[in-house]
Amino acid sequence: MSLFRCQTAWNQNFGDGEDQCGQNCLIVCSDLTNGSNQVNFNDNPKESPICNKKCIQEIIIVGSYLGMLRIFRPSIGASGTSQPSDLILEKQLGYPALALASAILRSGMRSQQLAVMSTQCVAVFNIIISLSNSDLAVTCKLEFCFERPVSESLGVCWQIIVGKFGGGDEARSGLSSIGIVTSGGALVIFEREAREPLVIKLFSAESSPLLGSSVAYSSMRDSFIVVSPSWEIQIHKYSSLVKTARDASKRQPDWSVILADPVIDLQVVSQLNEGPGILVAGQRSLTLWQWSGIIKFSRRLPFSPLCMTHHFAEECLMVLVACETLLLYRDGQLCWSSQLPCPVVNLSLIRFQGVPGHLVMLSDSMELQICYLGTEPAMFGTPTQKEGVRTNLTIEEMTEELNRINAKLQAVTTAAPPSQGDLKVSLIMGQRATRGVIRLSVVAPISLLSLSVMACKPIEASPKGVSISSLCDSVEIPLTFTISSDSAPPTSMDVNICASYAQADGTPQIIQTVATTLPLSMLLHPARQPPDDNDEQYKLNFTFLGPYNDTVRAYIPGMQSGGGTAHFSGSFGKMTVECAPGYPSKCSLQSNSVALLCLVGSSVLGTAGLLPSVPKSKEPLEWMLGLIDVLFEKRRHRDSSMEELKSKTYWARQVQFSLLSRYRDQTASVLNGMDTLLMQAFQDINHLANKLVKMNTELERVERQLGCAIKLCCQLVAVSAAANAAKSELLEAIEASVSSSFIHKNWVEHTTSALEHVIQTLWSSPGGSTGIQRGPAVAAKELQPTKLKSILAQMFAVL
Amino acid sequence: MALPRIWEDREIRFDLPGIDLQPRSGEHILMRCEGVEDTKGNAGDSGSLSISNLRVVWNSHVSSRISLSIGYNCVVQVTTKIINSKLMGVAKALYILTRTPSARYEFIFTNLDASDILKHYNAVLAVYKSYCSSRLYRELRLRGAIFHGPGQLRTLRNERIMNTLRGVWNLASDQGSLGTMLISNIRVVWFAEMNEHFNISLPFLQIKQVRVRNSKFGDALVLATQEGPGGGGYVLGFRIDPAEKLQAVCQELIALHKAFTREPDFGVHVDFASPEVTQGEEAVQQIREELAVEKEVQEIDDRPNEMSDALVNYYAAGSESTISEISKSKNPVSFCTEFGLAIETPKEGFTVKSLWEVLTNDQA
Repeated sequence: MSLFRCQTAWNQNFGDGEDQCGQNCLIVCSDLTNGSNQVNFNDNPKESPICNKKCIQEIIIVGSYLGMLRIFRPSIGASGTSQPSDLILEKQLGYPALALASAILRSGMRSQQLAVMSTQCVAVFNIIISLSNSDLAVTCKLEFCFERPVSESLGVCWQIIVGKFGGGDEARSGLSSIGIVTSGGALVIFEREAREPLVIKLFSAESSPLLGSSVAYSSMRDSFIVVSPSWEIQIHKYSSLVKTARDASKRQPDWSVILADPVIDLQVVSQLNEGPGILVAGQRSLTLWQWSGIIKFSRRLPFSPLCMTHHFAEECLMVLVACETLLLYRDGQLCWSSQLPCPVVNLSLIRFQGVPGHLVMLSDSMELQICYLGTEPAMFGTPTQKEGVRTNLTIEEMTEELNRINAKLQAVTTAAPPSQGDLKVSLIMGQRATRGVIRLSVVAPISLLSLSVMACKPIEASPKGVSISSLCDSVEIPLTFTISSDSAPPTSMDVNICASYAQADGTPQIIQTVATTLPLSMLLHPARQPPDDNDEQYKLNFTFLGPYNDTVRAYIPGMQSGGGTAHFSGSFGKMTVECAPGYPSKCSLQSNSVALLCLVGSSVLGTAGLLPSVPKSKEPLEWMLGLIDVLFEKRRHRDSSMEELKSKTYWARQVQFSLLSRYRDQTASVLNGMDTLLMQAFQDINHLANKLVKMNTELERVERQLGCAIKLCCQLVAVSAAANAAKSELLEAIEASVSSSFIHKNWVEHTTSALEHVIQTLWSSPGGSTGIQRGPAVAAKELQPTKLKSILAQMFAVL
Repeated sequence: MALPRIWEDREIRFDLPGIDLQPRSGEHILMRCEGVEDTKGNAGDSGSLSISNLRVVWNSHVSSRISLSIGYNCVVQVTTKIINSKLMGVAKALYILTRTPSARYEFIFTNLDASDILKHYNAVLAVYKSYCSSRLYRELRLRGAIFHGPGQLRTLRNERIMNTLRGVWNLASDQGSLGTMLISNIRVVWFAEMNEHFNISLPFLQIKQVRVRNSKFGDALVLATQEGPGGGGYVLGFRIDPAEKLQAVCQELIALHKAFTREPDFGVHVDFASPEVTQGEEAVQQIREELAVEKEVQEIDDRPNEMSDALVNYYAAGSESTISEISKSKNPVSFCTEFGLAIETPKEGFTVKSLWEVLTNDQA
């Protein structure tokens, strides 16, 4: 498909859904406005250089299969569209108009006549146009001249040719004969108004086809070019045809050749230096034959054309081939292509609005258009929002509007924070930990409310988002939380709700809140059996600062207020909790999953105000440090696969470009197995892409596990260091980046830099830090596993 | 009293307000199909398809805000297509290709009622054909084939000739043309005595104003037509003698115009009981058989649209500017001597050759 497209300058759709037309149902000719009442047709318009025409305005004549003959005199009205007065004649002929032709067909006339071919006859008309100052007063008459029938035994009329067959006769100069090609393979010639036709059998009785053949006539050589339905092109002198009219077997063509594909259109080019040429548009090729039978050029077409026309420009032969796309060849070289508004079956040229070289196109659904070649690439056009309201935007206007919007946004954001009074969002969890209800209530009506519920993977909220067009009072939205099958627990049990809406005055507002923290009972269920001894066990010990309260019980289901031992199991691992009664009391968590241990530990630490003791077991730390190695190894694998994918994609594109350029050359050439290479490359790309998806999933799982550990680490630091407000804020920032791993892609890098800053400020110079100045994020390439490991080891060492 | 602007059949609109979805005077809902998916723009959403005599309207059941209105005058092609629908799987759907002055859009509607999967296609096609063949009800026609014999007007469906006036002069030309005026309940027809092909068929739908005005031929009946492609914005003058008769004819035309304006006839008459429209079970069975062997399936891209603009979903091709827009723009049409064709003048700094070379170099 071409980047450029033809622009419509004028169009008339007169199809009624039933009527249709075929090739040769359109002719363009010029009328005179110098007072003469009669139409003055050009010489054969297909053979005339359009730019040399001196006509003032041209008319378009269109025939249809339902017998409607229409004549248009195109113009543009004040509204920029075609006018009702452009139709100057519409007449029902009473028989189908299969093809039209124009020439001087009646003796004594100096102007040309219109020949209309029907199924069994050809009728000749004189067209008389009376011009006036007003378009409304232009009148047109169709004057019947004569009609010539074609015998039914010869078949149905298939094609009409007009010309001075048999050479010029000085006494009757200008008068042309009519030739009709029938579906029975006969050429019926009505010589200069003769009533009795001369019937020439083009093919022998055995090969006489039911479908008609394509025929053209060269006046320079007085010869017929005949293409048989068996795709054989033959040149016959008219005199030879006449001599062997009754017996085709005795006839010998001047030369003949068999074509490679069926012929769509056949035209004689008369102004070549080497004499006349024969232009053949095949189903997949365009060929120009010299009269000697030598191919001057042949081009492969990317589509099957429906019509063709030619003209000359700067002494070069220009050939136009069209279907849904228009191709323009200059001396056999493709020099332009253009998208067409619809598939066209008839193509011609016209002078319109004083500019010659406009294209006249007729579709099979009877839509007539006058177009010109557009030079704006079509693919960059964007649709307009509102039809009929097209405005050309300028940079200045757009900048001004942008500034206005920015100023308004700034005023809104700086004036006041989102007023909590407008919208209140609360999440109420039900008896069962997995179900809840979001309650939305407003004081003043709001509109375009959009709500998103965000939880850390693998916890999933359903529905994830809700849209409400307008809210006047309150509404409750039921919510369900589920845990998808995954091997790593979430880094956080927090549920965030983000709401955006428009206030009554249209001002947009966004509210983001931590709605609730989901209970750990979602992950752990009471179990009767303790974990097997064979399982690898990790342990954390805590000491209560205050009296034992229900906080632990709230987070660890099944715990008795009096202390004791409880066993739990879940999809992420098993856990045993031991709580000793008394003040101060001790609590220990033991699990076969470090990630689960870290998650529960950090949750308990964060909310219960426990004092942790130094972990007796160093396994969690070792596991965490080992996990860092795994993480970086997986990252390296992922990055190398990504590089491989990029290089493979680049290579595939190179092969694709090579193939495309060969395809667009329009010449048949060997593919050299490039198509196989391309297919192989695409398969490799698919394989790599699938591999990358799996890698990313695995990487995400490891990151979540590491996130749990880092979060616990931060909790331990926070509690043990009894940090002041500024330091707490710093630690919260680290935690936020960990728990929001589903939002921030490079959280590991951010967390590392934040941890490094904690080490530098919290321990190196206690009390020296006055403000929170988080260190710059470490670039992903610079971050080495040893660095993160050393930082975490340092933190644990302090603890 | 002139008719309010008729946009229903001449425009394509998206997400219409409720008032625009209401049928206008003279518009009738001919068929309503529930459970129709807009497979192109709102895949997976069921809706209702209302087929009126002027347009096709689709309303989403999911959101009342989402709707479409496709005027028949914008339609280029109505056909069927095998598609892969979200709700129906591989199915045959109604495919409508449309064109407006600025862009081309395509619409695909899938009927979710498996018992009559092409009910909506048959209905839309029948109404569209009827719309195309009834332009004389809605458009001014000059020099048309409106007679089937000498002086015998080819009357339209539901048309009744109210008055025949001989000796009416058409004042379009300098010397005037003598002819006959026929007044029906749908249009005003005038034809010349000497040449029947010189005629005017002016439907009341395109009449903007009827009045008597003084001219160089004396008092004349003046019919002003609507602006735009259907009416052309002409002022047609007719001289009728004597003056009393002129006034009477003017009053008669005003009365008929008023009556027509109250309940206009757009000429689209479809009888859904006819066998052509209701192909019924046979067609459904045929489609099922076709689907069993059909291999060419058009995949509908159901990835989430990043652009929220509704019309982008239906966008098919770019704009085709009219000559008036071109004359206003900076790139006028000129004759290219290299091609021997009319071409939009390339922007400053570009030539036709350089544009084509960019394209071919890029391809290489």
